[in-house]
Amino acid sequence: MRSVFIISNMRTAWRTLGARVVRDIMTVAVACCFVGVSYGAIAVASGIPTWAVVAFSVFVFAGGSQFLAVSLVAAGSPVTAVLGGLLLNARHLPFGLTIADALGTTWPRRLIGSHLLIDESAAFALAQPDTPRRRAAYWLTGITLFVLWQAGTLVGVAVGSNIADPSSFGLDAAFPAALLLLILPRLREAAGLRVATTAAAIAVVTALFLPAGLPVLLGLLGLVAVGRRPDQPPPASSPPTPVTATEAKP
Amino acid sequence: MSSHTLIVVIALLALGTYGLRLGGVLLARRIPAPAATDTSPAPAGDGDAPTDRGSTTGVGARVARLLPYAAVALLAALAGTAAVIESGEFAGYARPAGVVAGLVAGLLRAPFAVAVVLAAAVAAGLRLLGVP
Repeated sequence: MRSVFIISNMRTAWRTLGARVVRDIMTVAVACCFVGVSYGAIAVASGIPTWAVVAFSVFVFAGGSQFLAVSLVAAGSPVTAVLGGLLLNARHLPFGLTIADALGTTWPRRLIGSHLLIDESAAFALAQPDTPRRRAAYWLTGITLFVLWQAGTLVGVAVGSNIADPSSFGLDAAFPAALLLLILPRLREAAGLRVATTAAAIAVVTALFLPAGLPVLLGLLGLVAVGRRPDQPPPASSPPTPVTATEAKP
Repeated sequence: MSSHTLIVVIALLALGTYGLRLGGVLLARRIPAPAATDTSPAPAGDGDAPTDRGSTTGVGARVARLLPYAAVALLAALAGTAAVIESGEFAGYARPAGVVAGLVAGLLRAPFAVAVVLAAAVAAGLRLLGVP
């Protein structure tokens, strides 16, 4: 039943989004799956029981906060684990504000879709030019990454601590690179570039002395760089701005 | 740590995270955005969009204009910290070098997948060569 749903969803997404965007989403999903493997492996290696490792992935479904919570729980500070994890996930609130239309308008879609709100689903949705495509990108990314995150977690639990270090494959570089590539079209417009560089600078500097999660939220201060008016509109006759890095290619 | 404590930690983190997610989604309905049908920054450059936004006054309009950039700011902040910071300290040179390689590939219009794999490969390759 569920797989039928996913397959029909994939077909719709393929038609709506085009093969390139679907392939991009699958690329990120595979990378995410490997991060899930390292999460599962690290978590069992630090002594967290298997049921709890899996429960984090199913019910929290936010990689960064899971790594943080697992390490803090293992270190014997459950209160810090909850507070730190929530601080790290606080960015989901402004994400939800920004891409709410991508979830849909019915209550089941809002309620279920909210659980699929992660960096990647927000980023792929944001990269789409209109609501139908934002919706397709959001759900395809959210469902695919949810399934592969669980699969990765289970594989990680199974292989234990053998491949606990994702950095040996450079996967730690793949995640920030993918995020930047997704906002690349925004970086080509002046206001977007100003906002992004200001936000990144604020976050990186504050990350040196503030707890995880807070620097990313402080990145919102980069919004002061938008300026009072939007950018000069292009001439009405100009073709629409390319909206994803991939769509812009021939 | 007892199973009981672990269950409470998972439940609080899961419920709190879900609350943050749903909260943002539901709050979005309260913002009287001309951008409600289209919240991406790119259409802000369309001929008619700025006029629409200009016609709405007050805090709502300002928030509606800034919102599309909020996700850009958050993603850039996330990418920036993920690229150079690890546990509150400099993450070493290999990772940001890989990220820059991927970004440059993207600017040169390499396919997304190629750029991401290149980022990982450069980071992994530099580590093989002994770069921290």
